[in-house]
Amino acid sequence: MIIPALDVLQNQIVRLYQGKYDTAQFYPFELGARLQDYENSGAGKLHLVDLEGARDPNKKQWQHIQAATKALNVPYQVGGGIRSEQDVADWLEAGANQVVIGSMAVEKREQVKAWIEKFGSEHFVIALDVNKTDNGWAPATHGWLSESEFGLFELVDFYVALGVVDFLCTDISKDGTMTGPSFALYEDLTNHNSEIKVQASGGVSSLDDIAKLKKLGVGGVILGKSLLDGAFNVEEALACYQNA
Amino acid sequence: MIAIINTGCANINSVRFAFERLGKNPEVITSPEQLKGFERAILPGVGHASVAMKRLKDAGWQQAIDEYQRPLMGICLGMQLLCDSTEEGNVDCLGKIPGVVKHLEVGTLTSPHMGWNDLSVLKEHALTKGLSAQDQVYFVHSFAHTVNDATLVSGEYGQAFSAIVAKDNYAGMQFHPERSAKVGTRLLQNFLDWQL
Repeated sequence: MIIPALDVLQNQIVRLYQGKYDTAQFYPFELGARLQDYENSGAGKLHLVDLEGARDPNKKQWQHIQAATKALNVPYQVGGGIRSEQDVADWLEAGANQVVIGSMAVEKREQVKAWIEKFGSEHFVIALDVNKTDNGWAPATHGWLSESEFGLFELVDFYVALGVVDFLCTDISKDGTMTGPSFALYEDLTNHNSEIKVQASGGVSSLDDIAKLKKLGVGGVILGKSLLDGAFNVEEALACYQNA
Repeated sequence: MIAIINTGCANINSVRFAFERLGKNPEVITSPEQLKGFERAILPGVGHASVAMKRLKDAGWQQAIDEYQRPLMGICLGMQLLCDSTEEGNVDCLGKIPGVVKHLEVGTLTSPHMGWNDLSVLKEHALTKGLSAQDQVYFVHSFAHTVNDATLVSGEYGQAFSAIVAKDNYAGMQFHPERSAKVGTRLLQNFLDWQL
C-alpha cells in the first residue's frame, strides 16, 4: 500500500529535517485540497501528523485537521501528541480510522495496552522511531531526544501479543533526508515477524526504493517529502508498488 | 430523511460525513421512538458484538428495528448485528438477515482482515448496481457472515464470506463504504436509490 503523508504545523503543510522544528519548510498547498488530490490519485490510505500537538499536547490542531479530512473518502491514520485515552477517543470520533502512537508506546506501555483493549487493536498503529546502536535497533522517544529502555523487537512483540498489526518504523538518521530508506531496518523487521504490516517511512526518494521495499515484504510505504517535492507522483508510486 | 442510529459505541461521524458528501443531511438519532419517522436508516457499528447488542436491547432498539419497514442498512458490526447470531461473545442478534456470523478463518493470513479487497457479485440487486469485477472496498473485521441465500456480494480472505447481504427491507455491508473511495460512494448512493 502507498500511504501519502502530510505533516501539519501552524495549520500549514510542513516538512521537518530529521524531526527538528527549526528546519521547518512550509509548502503552499491547502491541506484539504492536497489530501483530496492524493485520494483522487488512487491512494488507499492517508497519514497525517499533528506536529503542533506533538510539540505541545495543549495545542492540537483539531479543528483544522477535522475540517480538512471531512471530505475524505478513504481511511486515514493520525498521529502527533496522542498522550491520553481522551486523545484517542477524540480522533476516532473525528473520523480517523487509526491513531498512531509514538512516544507513549515506548514510555507507557501499560497505558497504551489499556487503550488498545478499550478501543480495539485495529484502531492502532504503533510508531517506533529507532537509532542503530551497537546493541541493535534502539527506539527513541520525546521528539527523538531520548532513548528507550526496551529494544525494538521487544516492543513489537509486546504489541503483536495485544493484536496490533500495523507498525510504522523509521530510522531516525534517514527521515526527511531523501537519501534512501533504511532497508536494513525493514529487512530485520520482516525477518523478525512476517505477519505484521510494517509501514516503511523516511528517506524514500525514488521509485526504485519503493520497489525494493515491496520486495522486502513491507505492508506499506509512507511518502511525504518525495510527493510534496514532486520526485514522483502517487500514480507512479502505485504503479511501481503494484508491479514490484 | 435518513437516520443514523447512535447506539453509543459507533463512530457516527465518518458515516454522517459520507452522506453529507452525497448532498444529504442525515440525522443522528438516539431514541428508538424516533426511527419510524425516517425514510431510511443506517445502523453503524464498531466494537464488540456482545456490548453493542446489549446496548441495542437495553435501549429498546430491537423492537423499533423489528417494526421498521423501510430500507435499513447495517455497516460493519452493524451488519453483523442484523443477522441471527454471532460467535463474537456468542450472542443472539436481531434476526433480520438469515444466517450466522462466525470467526473468519484466515489461515496463514494476518487477522483481522484489514485493508482493500475485491468483491464478487453473486446476485444482482439495487444495492449492487454499477459494481464491476475490478472494484475494491476497505475492510476491517475479524468476524463475518457465512455466505447463504441472503448474500448479494461475497469477499474472500482465507475463506469466502458475505460482503453485502439483503433480506426484505434489511441490508448490510461488511466493509466500510464510507471509506471506500468512489466504489463506496457508489454503494451508498445505491442504498439511497433502493426502492422496496
